[in-house]
Amino acid sequence: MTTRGQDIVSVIRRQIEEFGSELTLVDVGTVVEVGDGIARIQGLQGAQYNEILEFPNAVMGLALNLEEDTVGAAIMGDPNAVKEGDTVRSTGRIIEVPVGDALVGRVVDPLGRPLDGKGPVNSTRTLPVERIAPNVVARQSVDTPVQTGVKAIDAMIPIGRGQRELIIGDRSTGKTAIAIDTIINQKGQDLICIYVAIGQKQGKVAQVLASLEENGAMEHTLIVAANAADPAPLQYIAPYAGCAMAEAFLEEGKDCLIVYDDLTKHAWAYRQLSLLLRRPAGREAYPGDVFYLHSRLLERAAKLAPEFGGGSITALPIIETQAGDVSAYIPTNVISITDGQIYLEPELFNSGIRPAVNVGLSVSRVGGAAQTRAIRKVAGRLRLDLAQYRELATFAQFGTADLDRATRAQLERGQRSTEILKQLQYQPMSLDKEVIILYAVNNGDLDDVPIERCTEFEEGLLRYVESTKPDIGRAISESKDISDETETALKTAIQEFKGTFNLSK
Amino acid sequence: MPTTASAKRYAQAVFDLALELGVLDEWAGGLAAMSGALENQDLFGFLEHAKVTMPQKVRTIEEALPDVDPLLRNFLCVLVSRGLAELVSEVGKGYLRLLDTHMGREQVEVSSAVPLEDSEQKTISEFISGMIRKEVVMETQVDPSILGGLVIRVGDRLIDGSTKTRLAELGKRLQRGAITTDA
Repeated sequence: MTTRGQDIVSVIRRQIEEFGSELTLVDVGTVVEVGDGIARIQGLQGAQYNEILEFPNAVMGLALNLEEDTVGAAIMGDPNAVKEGDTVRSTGRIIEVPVGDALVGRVVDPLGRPLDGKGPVNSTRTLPVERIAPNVVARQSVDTPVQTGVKAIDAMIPIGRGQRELIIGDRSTGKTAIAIDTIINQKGQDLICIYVAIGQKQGKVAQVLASLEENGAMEHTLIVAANAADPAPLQYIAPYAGCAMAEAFLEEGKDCLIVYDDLTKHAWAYRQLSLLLRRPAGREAYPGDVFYLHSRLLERAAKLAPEFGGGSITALPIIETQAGDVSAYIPTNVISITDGQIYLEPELFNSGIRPAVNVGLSVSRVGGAAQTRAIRKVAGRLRLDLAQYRELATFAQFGTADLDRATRAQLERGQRSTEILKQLQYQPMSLDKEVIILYAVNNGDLDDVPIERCTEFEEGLLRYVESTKPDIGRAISESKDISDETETALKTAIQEFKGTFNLSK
Repeated sequence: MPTTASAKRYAQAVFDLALELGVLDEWAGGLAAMSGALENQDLFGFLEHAKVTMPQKVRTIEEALPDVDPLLRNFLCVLVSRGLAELVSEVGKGYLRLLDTHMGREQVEVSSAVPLEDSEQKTISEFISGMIRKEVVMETQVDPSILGGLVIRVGDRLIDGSTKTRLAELGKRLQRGAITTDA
């Protein structure tokens, strides 16, 4: 806006003079019925599926049902502004969103309109919201990890770039927290993050934005928000819009992470739309294509082969269950679509194990291939050990007095592993730190540390290694492996630290 | 809208029959007479009444519409026997649409801010028929709210050359901040 006043005046003058000399033939229709955010329009013979329609007063609509004489359209704006008899114009544009670098750091609605008060989004390119997923030829299997910075996940449920990992759990079990931590952990790295809020409270979205800003994570993040107060059609297109924005980066060969928070509410919005459009209802009143609704969205997550640019879209859909019921309709659908799930439990959450990941029920079907060698070395047996520990723990809850020594040792180790896997929110960890502390647990170095002092030990050890032996951390994060020398150095460092730690007891 | 869909089917059937018999224009008049007669609520109520027997209704129809082709009267009897007498006017409109398409005519609605002179109307109608390559049946309206220019509606298509729309477009463009990107 450095243009001088006079220039602006002349530009406006020219625009006014040149404006609107062209006449175009547009398809029109008449609203015959309107209600609940849905308009039935007579006419519009040439309307296309998913075409943007223009109602009077600049209200936009989306053509969703194309029938013989009428078109069923969802109104994406104030439904009260549309009345019977209004003329509706077709625009010839299939619904599309602005994409590109201009969006990074912004908060936009599903049509790409800014919501953060930082002025217009200066994007030069648009992409259609609905696109076909990359085909088999263009894809490659997952081979690079997404470092979430959450110990429990990186160690036991590794996520690879291009994977779709579901985060599932009851309300307030820390689902969003895991996604946000993962986004924060990408600070200063090459992964662009997109957070799609669907049907969330405005306050919660503001909170997410604030915590991302506070942790400096908005520089590589963009938020697409269709809040609870927004009309259902906007909520319905939000994840597709977010995905289209991600695909623009994918095409440039970049890596993206997209969080859909949450697909339960997305299915609700779609159910509302479908019922109002009088499409037949199926199980739990969801329409027949509710599976396709999510499968076509999540199929767009991909890892491309190098000859196709080698970019990736990693999807972290979130599903909220009711009272832990994972066998409800939408959860089972999304579980079967994704490449694994992180299952969060309120019992664990309330007993102080946070993140409340249920290690037994959580899996990652493809991420193992992408795990770094360093983590694989230290966490290879952790999952199995914890599973055995839990089995023993239920057995041993009536007293450990008459157990043999091996069993008791396993119990002790399990308790300490659980303790070490706890992690505070907004404190994702770098790879080398994860490796160091997991190595210590695995190696039995914590077996003689009292359980309530494990956290203290962890903090102390990491600080000690970082300040006195920075080479170890650097070697791990550079090679993503533990060489023999590093291992020896790490071993000695831990022993040295244990000397000081036990002394201060 | 299931009623309009069925009206369309009936209209097509009536039209096909009329085309075969070569009585297209006569039947157009007949259908108009029918819809006119049925606007009489007494007659309509009688025909829709459940307790009146069908032969009585047929007799009434014959008496009310003596000038109409008997075959076309049969059509009304078919509708009445199915309790669909309300469709008649809708069928009539559908019939006219089919007739226009058949004759290569097109209904055109032209709105202007001030009444158009005959010569202007002629120019416009020639312009439109040149564009859509069909004979034009023009209907003019005066709508001061469009401020100036013309709005031409041909079936489901619209040519909007009104000053009102152009101003709205200009306003939208200025708001969108096209100035900064142009300058």
